[in-house]
Amino acid sequence: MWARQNLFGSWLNTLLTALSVGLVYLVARGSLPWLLSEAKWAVIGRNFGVIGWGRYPNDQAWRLGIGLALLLILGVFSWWAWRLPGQSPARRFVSVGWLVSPVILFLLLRGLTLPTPVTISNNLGYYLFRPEVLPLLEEDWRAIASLLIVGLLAGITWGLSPRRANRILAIVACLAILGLCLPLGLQAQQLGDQGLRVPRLVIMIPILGLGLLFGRSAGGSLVTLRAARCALLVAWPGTAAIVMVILTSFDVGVERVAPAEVLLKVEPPLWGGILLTLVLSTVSILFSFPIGVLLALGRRSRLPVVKAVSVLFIEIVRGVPLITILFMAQVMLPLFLPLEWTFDRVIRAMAGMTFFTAAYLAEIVRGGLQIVPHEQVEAARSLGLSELFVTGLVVLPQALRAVIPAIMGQFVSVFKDTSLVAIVGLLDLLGILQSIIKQREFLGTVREVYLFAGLFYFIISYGMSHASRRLEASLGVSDRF
Amino acid sequence: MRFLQVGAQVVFVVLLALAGSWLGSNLLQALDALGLNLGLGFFKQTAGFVIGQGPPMERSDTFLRAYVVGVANTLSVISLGLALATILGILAGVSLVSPNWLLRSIVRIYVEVVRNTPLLVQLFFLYFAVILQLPSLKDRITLGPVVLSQRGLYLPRAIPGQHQLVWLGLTVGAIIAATVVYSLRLRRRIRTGEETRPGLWATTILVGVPLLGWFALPGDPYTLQAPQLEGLRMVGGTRLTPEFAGILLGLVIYTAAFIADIVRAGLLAVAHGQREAARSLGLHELQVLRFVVLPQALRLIIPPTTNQFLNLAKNSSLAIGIGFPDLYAVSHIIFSQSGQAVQVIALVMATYLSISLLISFVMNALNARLRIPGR
Repeated sequence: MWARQNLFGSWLNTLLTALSVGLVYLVARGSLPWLLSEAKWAVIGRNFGVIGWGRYPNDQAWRLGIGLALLLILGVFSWWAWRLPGQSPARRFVSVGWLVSPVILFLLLRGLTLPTPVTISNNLGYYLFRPEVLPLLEEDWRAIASLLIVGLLAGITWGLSPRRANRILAIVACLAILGLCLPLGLQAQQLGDQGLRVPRLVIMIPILGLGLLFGRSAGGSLVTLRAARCALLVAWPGTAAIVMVILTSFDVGVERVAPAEVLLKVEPPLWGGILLTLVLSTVSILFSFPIGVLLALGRRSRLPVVKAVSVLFIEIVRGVPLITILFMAQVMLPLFLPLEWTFDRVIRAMAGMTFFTAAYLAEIVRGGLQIVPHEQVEAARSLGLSELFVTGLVVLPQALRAVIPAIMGQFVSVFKDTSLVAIVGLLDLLGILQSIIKQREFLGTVREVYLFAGLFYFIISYGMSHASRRLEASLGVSDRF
Repeated sequence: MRFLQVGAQVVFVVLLALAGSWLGSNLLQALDALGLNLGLGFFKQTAGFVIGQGPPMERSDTFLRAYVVGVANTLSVISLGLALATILGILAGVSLVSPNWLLRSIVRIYVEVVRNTPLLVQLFFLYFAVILQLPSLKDRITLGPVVLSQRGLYLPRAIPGQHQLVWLGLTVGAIIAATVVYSLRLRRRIRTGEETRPGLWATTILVGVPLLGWFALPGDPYTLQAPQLEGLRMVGGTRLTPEFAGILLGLVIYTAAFIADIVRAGLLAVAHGQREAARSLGLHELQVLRFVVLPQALRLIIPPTTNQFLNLAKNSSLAIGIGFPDLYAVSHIIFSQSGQAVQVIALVMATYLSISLLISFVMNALNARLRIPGR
């Protein structure tokens, strides 16, 4: 019988079973009555708004719902699209969707101001007739950003198709944006505190050139993509609209020509609770990934300086506790940056967590890089691929695929480690709960509150681990190596 | 090609140098504006505060002394934590491979819950919701000589009596003698083949000599002093403050869960055939464990466990959350008193790096000793 074999197999087993039953009984007797009757679970219900989204205005919380719904839809579409065979266009759409979602979510959460037609005509006039105002408003970065974007698109158009019409379009676009920014460009700008004064054109033209160059190489490599040329038809009007928004979104203090607030602005300092925990985790994961891969590649580089710097960074960041990194970010980051750049504490915490995670990811990716057989690299080189493409197209995909379980584990860790920002004073879930139990009317609810926190983290961590195990199984990761 | 590489490095170094000098100049500017400098002399300033736990300290002691107290606290937490976490982790790991379903399930629930909850949440729960909710001294819980209350855990203390040095010397001598006798008898058994029972001899010496010494010496070398309540305080015995108990318990429970999984994986990785072959050779369970399973399992267990030990050492910094004055918490106080962020942080990072290096070094030495030659 099952019980005889598993519970009472030997005298030791029987003793252990008896002890375990006794332990379970004691724990249940101590905690169940409290859990079911005395515990004041209302503390969670009454403070639901603060716990869920901190000081985000309650009447704007519907935006969070929309954001969640968007993510859910993307998730469902991904699951459906990946069950379809091969390179279906559905997958491409969903991938683009995922790429664009951080920007959309950020704008949704933070709020959006869009220039009205009045704003556009008024502010464009500043570029042409009163360019000296823009540096005073600290809005001269908009010209540089637009130059970069237009340069990129022009380069892509040029490199994508040899038709003369496209080249003329690219040249015209570049000239147009340059002409718009010329009055601003002819103004002198001081580099640094005691630097020399040079016209802004010195910065603008190289930026435009950089965009063009990058765009050209990107366009050249996108030539085989049929969808790319159709995408250009959409890209130009879309980019024109975005550039217009970027150029003219500033406020000159006159009510009539101010940009219109489409969504109420809620700046990141007000984000708190579960919202902040999720945002911190996601941003850290997103940004630490490229940094971590670069560090891993740097550590394996043959150039001694690059290798030394990578090793130093990785070992130091991995050898100290996360809380010291967060403390460094909160206290020392403002010291190392110019006094005028002020970063909100949430941004500093994000920076700290990103660098911490990047170091750990670097070690994981390094393990994956070691697993790729050297013959692959040699074969790729003999095909004539440059070093960049060898790494990007041959080595990295295999390396990353091999270490997906470890990367997922690290992401679960990141999610749990965001709780540490409560110690540096940020109001994430744990911070908000701490401030709740200090209020007089919720003074004795310590256990309920921390049990809730534990439950929340447990459900999401366990869910993520479970999903990662199923992902491993479906990808057949362990079977391949 | 080589030129390109050298060129790339030169560019990288130049960029790094530029970035470094820009950051450095910003730092000096900011420090100037705050009226601070980059010197280490401020460590000799008077602290003006007292740390309640660990080595004793006066209000007039220096910042450096305060920092040393913090380091002592951290080291005591880490050493005790490592020992207890290993023991608990091994017990839990072995339970996870036991044939008893109930035991396995209970331990599995423990491991999964602890691993998927942040350590800080567990610490807060243990400290605020469990330890601080213990009854006050008046209604203390007494388990024999051990007293549990809101003010801490009180354990009996051994008071040295007369001749304690003599007895200690005797014990040390017994340990040395036992080791020597063990190796001698073992060598003799290997050489001649006769059963000389090295274990029995060593154990007899190890246990018998100190025991004889205890009773032979007039008076007891040590007496046990139980904690007693006098007025509003407990006297006698050693006191484990709630904060120390909290951080220790939290760290041990958290790390042991990870070690348990590692031990389980290590034990399962030893091929089943090894045990069957050993049994068929006539070895009984304990010998199978000691000579066949454990050596192979240990090689698999030690590297990940080293990682967990390093994590425990770094996680001890969370003690600031529950008010235990470990080295990070003390450095925080020093920073808020003196404002010298850069030096304090650099010192803290150097300390943690040294502790990590020490633990890695010891564990790697252990790993090397257990290496199978040729692999």
